[in-house]
Amino acid sequence: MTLTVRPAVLAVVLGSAAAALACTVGLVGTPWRAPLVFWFVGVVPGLALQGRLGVTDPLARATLAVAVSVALAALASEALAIASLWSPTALMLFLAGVSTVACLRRTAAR
Amino acid sequence: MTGKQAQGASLTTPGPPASALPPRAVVDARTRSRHRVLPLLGQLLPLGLALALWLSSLRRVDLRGMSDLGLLSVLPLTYGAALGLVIGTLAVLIHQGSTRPVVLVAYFVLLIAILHATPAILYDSLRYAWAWKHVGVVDFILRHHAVAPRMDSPFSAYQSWPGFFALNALLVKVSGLGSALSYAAWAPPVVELLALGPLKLLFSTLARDTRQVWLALLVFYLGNWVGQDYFSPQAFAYLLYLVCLVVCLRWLPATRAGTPLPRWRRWMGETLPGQASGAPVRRRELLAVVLLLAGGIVTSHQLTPFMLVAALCVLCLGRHTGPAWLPVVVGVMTVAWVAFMATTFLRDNLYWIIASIGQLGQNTQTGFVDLSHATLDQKLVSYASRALTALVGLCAVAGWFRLRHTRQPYRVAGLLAATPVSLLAANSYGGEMIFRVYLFALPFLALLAAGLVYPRTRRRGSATVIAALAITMSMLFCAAYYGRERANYFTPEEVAASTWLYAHAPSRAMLVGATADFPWAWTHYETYDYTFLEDLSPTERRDMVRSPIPVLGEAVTGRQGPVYVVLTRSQVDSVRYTGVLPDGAVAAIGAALEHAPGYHVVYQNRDAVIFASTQPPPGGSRS
Repeated sequence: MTLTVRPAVLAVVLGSAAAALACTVGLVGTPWRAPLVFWFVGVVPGLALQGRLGVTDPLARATLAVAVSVALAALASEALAIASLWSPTALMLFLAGVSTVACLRRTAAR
Repeated sequence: MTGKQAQGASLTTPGPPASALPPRAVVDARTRSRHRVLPLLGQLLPLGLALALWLSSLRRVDLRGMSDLGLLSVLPLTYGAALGLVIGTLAVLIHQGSTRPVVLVAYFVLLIAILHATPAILYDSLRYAWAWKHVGVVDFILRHHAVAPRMDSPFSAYQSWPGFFALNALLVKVSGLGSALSYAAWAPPVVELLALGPLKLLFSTLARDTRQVWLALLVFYLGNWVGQDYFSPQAFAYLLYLVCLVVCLRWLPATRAGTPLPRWRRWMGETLPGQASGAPVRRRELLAVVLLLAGGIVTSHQLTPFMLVAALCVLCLGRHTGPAWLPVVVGVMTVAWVAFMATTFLRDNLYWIIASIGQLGQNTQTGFVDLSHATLDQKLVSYASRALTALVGLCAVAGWFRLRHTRQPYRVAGLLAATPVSLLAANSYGGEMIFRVYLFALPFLALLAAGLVYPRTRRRGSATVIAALAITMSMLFCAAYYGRERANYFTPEEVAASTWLYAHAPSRAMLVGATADFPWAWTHYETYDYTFLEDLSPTERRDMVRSPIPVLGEAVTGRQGPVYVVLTRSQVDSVRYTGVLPDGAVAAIGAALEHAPGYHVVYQNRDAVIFASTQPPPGGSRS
């Protein structure tokens, strides 16, 4: 079971990150752009990070994935806004980087 | 072997082909399958029927026909039938105790859709004037790529706690939507759906009986009439707050036995049914998650961090969560943020914040509307909200005693329900504290109220009683939640007037409204000054009907640039509901301005009129 889940999560995280970055540079248009961005910002970073938490309950995993994702995105976005450096491209790169690194480190650690 | 294990085994272990089995075994398998499928279909049939009834009820709704009962007055009977069917079936399914969670979740999704997606589907504009302001702050970040916490503006609080707005600015920009108006109307159903997970986990942690958990969810959704689920920092921070409590209660029990208050610990020393036994494997990472979520709360909303600190203190004192430094760290984060980011906000608001400390009675009273001039329908709406609050509170108190009597967990839920009340002594929160206290206490009140019914031995007729009580709650909810829709809903004409205003009013113009209840500040908000006649002194407000022009002149005195006075239908209804201005004040202002020298109508439709004090300079607009 674990052998099938890990590549699936990795694929979802990497695929979503790539799609979100494509949205950022304008390679994806309507109607897919908004759902992809909302999915990536609202779920994926938390999904990548929560594997390190040891939580197994599916409902808890889903809840944590959303909460961690939006909190991380909000903090990163306001940090840049306060510094007058707000840049959506930089933010998406940061979130994609965090997601990818968290997921790859998890895979490597196991 | 359980059903699930049997199912799993059939997936992993190839069994003999059906032809190789004896005929009786095949028949038994088919019978078992039929026995599983038929009840499931029976459970889902009311769901499908309710969905069909709800969708059909949305076809013919005349929003202009709304009375002072709000949306409730124009929704057809099929809407009530759909709601009643969902709630009645949910009561029965919860009472059965063996219903699959996925079926119950499906019912809750439909319940949330019926209660909270209906306005989003029916209205062609964003509900609530406050939500339009919030869209404006997102617009500010999109245009300036920054926030301005030191800027003097009516929104210094939003600029000082910008987390929610910065998140939405990111979403809007990258998704190419142009404005948060594209999706903000859908915030209530989305927020309520997102709350389902943390609430279920929270209740499962604090209660043993799954029926109590599901019933508590029903009570929560039917009792949550305060409308804090719209596009707002409060809704965002509330979700994070719930998840914070889940993580702390479920996976972060205190590891050290010592406590500064041993007696308190002994009294509080109940075992939480859903708390992970022993230290979690990834405790440090989970603590990091709590601090991350707390960071999101502290930087997004003024009030929620204090609610979180209070709840964490209670939990740490009872050793239900740890480490003990957690509330201290969150408290320091809160104070540090206020000290460094909110200086402008504090400068403008510190006087009333300090003045309201300790004024328990005043802080409680300021949120209530004066009903002396209200119509019968408005009184019904107001009494419905009070009755619903009282019903939830009374059931919770009775449930507390019953849980105590039956030796079920009740102390932690009781304390977490009582903790927000302490903040009533600290602040009036602009007259809203009583509603926020109810919002933060509601999950625990709902859990205690559900304890009035469960756990208990199976009694015949209990499901009927629960269904009747829940349907009564839903009627009160609809009156309380939808009762002020004449003021919360903006017609296409009002939105068109607002769009015209922001396209034509030059920068630094002063925008004047009878109240703030119209679509305002949703774009370029910082380039205008705002004055609302509802903020004038009581004497000036009393004089509004008799001599509106001198009062208006007083409001805009010393003003050099153009002044735009916006009067809308929603403001008229808002004045009637709240009584902030005398009866007929808005009409009197409009009539007086039509003949007043120096003012002329620059825009008019059937729901809004805009007067300008001077002709806008050519080329000065942003259209």
